[in-house]
Amino acid sequence: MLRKLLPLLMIVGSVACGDDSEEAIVIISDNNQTNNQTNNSTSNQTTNQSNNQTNNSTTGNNLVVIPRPELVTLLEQDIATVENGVAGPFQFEVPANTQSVVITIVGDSPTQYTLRHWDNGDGTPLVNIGWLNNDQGAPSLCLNCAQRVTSSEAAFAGMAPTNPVVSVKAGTHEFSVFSFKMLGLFNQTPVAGLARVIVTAKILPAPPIDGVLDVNLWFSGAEGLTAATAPTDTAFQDTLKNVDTVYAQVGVKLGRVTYNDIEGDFNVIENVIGAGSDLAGLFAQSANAPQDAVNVFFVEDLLTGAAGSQGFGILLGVSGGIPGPTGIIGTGRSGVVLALKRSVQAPTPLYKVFAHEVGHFLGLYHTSEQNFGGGQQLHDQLPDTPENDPTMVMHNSGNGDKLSASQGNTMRLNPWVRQEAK
Amino acid sequence: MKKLQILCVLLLSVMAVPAAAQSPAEMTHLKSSLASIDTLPTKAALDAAFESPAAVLMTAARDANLSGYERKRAISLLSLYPSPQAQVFLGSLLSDPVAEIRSMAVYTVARSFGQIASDQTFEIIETALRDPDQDVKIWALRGLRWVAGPRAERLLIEWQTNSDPNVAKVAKSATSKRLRASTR
Repeated sequence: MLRKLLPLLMIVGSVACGDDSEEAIVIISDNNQTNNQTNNSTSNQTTNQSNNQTNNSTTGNNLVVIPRPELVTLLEQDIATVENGVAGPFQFEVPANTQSVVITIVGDSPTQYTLRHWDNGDGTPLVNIGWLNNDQGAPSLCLNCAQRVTSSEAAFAGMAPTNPVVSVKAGTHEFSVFSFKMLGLFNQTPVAGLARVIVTAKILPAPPIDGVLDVNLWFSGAEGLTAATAPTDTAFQDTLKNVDTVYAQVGVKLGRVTYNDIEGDFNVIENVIGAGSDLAGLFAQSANAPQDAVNVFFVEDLLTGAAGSQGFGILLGVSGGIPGPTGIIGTGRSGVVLALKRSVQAPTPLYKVFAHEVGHFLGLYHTSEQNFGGGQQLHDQLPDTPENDPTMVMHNSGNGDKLSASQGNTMRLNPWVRQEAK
Repeated sequence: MKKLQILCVLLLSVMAVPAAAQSPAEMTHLKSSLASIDTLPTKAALDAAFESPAAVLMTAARDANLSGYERKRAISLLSLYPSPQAQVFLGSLLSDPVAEIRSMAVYTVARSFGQIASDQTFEIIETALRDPDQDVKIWALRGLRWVAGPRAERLLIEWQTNSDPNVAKVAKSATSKRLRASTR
């Protein structure tokens, strides 16, 4: 069955990869930055979405990190997977009042990473040990886990909770990592290698009822939009307002917005898989981000496929993961990319694609996948998202504008959504 | 002789589009899939869904009732079925009145047949390079990134000095990306 599900997941779940030879990453930890790379100067400016005024100007060398007292790094260490692809078990202590935890694994491309298991603070499994064996071929998505996780290339993130059945328990959590390489589309072989693990917790007295999403917007020049023109482009500003309106349903508002120009030739992304893909190169530019925020890239056209592979297709948006890597920028999965060129009778407006793909980056799955070719249809784990309802933001058509309470909860629990100082 | 070749291509293209007898439900499902913003059916899924998926995609690619986006997605998915018939069909789309369709058709030819490019592949690309629409030329040049061999390289070098700066820029970009891929 998973062989039928995998194709539907491969785009949003396993697209980007990093070319480690070119990549520079920035780890954001405990409200400080560790900058282990040489940044290029980047044209950018910052505005606050609520007043739309330019607040400051900075260069890529000066990452602005807004104080985030609610975020705590519980673990950050280099790990080594051995011949069977496994590393661990590793343990970390989760304090009381922890509302969510994200485990991010960053390694080499084209290695794929996932969690082999993850036990909650009370010992119950969030991710079942053995799910890798139950999945046919290559592990793509743990369907029978209390906490759904995927696998992904070069950089992986697993978050709990992303559904209301799960809550993060205080105490000792334990997890192990599995790394593998794909052999064709469906088969894998375990690989040994080095990776970095970062565990981030969001600690608050109660689940957040609101939050602020800061974004770095990156422009290739497509459709005339640049860091200089986008802040005053009426249509683009309407797009941001509409995204803000969609997210306002669940108490999330856009916060600090920076406008940046993409360096180099990334106007059309022609491949998204494999070492050195266009997409990995694009997302790696997030290492130059001026602030600790979700990076959203705007290009003219977006095509899938891998170098040397015959098959390809057209998309309007791609997320670096479900969720995207947390506590780190500059990886080949650190971002969301949206196609600006509106095709003849484009199926959905830009703001809906924006809301949808950033929704993936914050941990939301499609409410209902297509069951193309028959077989079991896959739905998200949320009880309040109607099945096959195209009015939902996260329906696979991407043409909706509704978010459910549970979806809002997942978004607000993601570390990329910050709690505003009261 | 040239006219005869064109006639043959047109005849083959008609022959290459067998009637795809699909149920309305199947076509609705295909249409829904083609409208998706961030997922694509794979070859395995298409094979499971349709007896003759390439024929179904060809029908969708020509279907005026579908949106341009859906038609373009159908064309791109023909890259999963790189048969001689598919190449002929894609070449026939260069007569489509919608420039976006012509652009995606030539790019799909380059991307699908680039590693085994034949004279016919280059004829389709060179026809697109003579298209009056700038975007069609640009997508033909963009596609040459994926076409192996010195003939593609020569075409790209030739177009780098084109008087249209946008066209020349794409030719340079495609050359640079070819070079980067070959040295990786």
